[in-house]
Amino acid sequence: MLEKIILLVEDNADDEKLTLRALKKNNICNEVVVARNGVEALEYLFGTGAYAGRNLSVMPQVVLLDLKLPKLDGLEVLRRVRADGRTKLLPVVILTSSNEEMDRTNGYGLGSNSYVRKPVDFNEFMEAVRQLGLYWLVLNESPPVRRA
Amino acid sequence: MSARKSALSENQAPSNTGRLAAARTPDSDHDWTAIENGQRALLNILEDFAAEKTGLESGQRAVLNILDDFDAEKARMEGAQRAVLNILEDSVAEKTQLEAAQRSMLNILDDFASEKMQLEAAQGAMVNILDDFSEEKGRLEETQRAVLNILDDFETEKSKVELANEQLEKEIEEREKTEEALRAGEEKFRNLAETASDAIVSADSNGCILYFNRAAERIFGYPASEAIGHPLTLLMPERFQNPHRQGLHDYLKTGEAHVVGKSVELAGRKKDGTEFPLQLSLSSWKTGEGTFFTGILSDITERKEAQEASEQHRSELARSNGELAAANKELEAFSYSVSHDLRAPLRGIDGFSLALLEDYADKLDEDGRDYLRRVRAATQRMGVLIDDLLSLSRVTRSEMRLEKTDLGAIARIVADELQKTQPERRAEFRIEEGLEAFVDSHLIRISLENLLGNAWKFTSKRESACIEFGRTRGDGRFTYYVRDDGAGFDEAYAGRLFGAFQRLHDKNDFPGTGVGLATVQRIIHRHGGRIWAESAVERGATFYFTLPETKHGGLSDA
Repeated sequence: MLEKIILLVEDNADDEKLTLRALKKNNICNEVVVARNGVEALEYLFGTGAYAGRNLSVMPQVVLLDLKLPKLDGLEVLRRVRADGRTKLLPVVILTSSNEEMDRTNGYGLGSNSYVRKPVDFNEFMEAVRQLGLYWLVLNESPPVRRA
Repeated sequence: MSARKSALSENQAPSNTGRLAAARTPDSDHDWTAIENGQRALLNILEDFAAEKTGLESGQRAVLNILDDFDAEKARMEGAQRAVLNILEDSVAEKTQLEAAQRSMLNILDDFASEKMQLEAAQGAMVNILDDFSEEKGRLEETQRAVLNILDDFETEKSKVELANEQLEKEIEEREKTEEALRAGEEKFRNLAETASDAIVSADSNGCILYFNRAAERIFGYPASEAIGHPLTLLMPERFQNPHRQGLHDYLKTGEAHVVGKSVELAGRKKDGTEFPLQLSLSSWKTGEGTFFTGILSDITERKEAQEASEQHRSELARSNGELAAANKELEAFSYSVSHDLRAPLRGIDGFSLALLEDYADKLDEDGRDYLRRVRAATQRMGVLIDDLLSLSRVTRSEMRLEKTDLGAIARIVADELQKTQPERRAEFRIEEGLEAFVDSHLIRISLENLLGNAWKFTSKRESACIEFGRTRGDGRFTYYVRDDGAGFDEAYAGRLFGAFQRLHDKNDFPGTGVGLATVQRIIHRHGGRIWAESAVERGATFYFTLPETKHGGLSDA
């Protein structure tokens, strides 16, 4: 059984560091691939650009997707992920600062599996990350991987 | 004659011989022979005469027969004449004419009677007269026929004339009626024209004013006497005078109308030279005397001004609407940005402060750890403030969906949630049943969360509390209230209650951002209601608000 990879799509270095800290503090030691913008995220998922030649049979167990991103924003990344047969069923959790109605509506509308708002209080944030890890990495059974 | 002579000689020979024998005297044989010869000649003459006489008698009889026939003819003619006279009785002229004809006929007949006397004496003349008569008769018959024809024509003519007369009489009667109606109508229209509030001006085909009513005098400032007989250009600003002349000329020439038959807005000129906007309805009509025009004009200065004001108002409104829409859009973008970007640094501050406290606690003294805890507290407070601000802005931006809502049921849910946060607290919620209103249930829930939450908060230092939500009817409309028996506030500061970030209590006593009541007020205002509060320090507080009672946001009659 291959290791369950987490794809963290996050442009803010502080948030990246805090998220990794929260994962570590919660003893979630899975590999975390970090994409710092939407383009990078898609390159990883489809094995293009910087990730050309990547073994596409290895797909992340869950994608933690921020919405406000440089180049391609999170919703556009989600749209392209859902439009492609290889990633259509990939679990995607929107993890972002806002709880704006518009973002939630669009996120679920484009096929997000979950929507979690990052709390300001780091203790709350830790708890959120703990629950996410427990649910998506342990409890949840991922869809079968489509071989390219 | 020879046949008659031989017949005489055969028939009368015996008796002639006897007379001759008795008359023979002894004078002489010679003499006797001469006598016999003379006697024979005499007898021949006598025979001739007798034949002649017989012929004459039969001729006379024939004439008499003809005369008898004529008598009958005459009687018949007289009968016919009488019949003709009867027909002629209707017309004196015809009758006279016919009588003249009759007279001439009678004269002819008289003449003929004397002719008849003469005829008895002279056959030849009679034959001539008969010829004359038959000619006369033919002529008479012809005359009679002509007379009858004339009579026929006359009858036709007469009935025609009678019909024409009848029609003429009817027409005259109708014309009299029409004239009377016209007179009445003209008076009515003159009164109408004189009392009309619009100016009425008529002109002839030269554009020369013929009629100028009282309203025209008032509007243009000319008495009728100064306008009538003058050209219409008198009433126009100079720039309209040439187009008017051209238009009039073209219309008379081609019949092509630019103004006639329409209602147009133009400018007029008063006697004092001032210009004013007017509405003109122009019509034209033709009589035997030419083409005439009538214009009905009204001074539309006020209407124009109102129109301009309304247009200006409309454009201002459109502009401010546009500004408002732009501002709203900006606010939305701003809120979105605040929601995403302002909270992220706070997470960093809080997260790394906690990391310091966790990972480097041994390198910090108690003061250092206290500072970091204060950094975290301030950061989290800022996070709450940002959330409250976003919620306030959302209350303003969100679309209103009014529906019949049970306010009591919402209040009950909110109260239960508050109780769950501090189950140990002894607090009684008295919530009235059946409080229904047409509101946006989502927004009204935010209001009740704030008002009941405040009541819960400001009674928190009491051993037991009573929080009420109900409705009263005052001034003919429902007033809702949320009442508590908590800390209350000084009414001197009531004016600041509903301002954003305004607080009347120390945040250490009662935490809060000062955004809650500002949010409530905004929601009530968006519903077209009003909110106010009554309180005294340590004697509780009551918040009152009104809400729409009908579907369309109005107030029902109480």
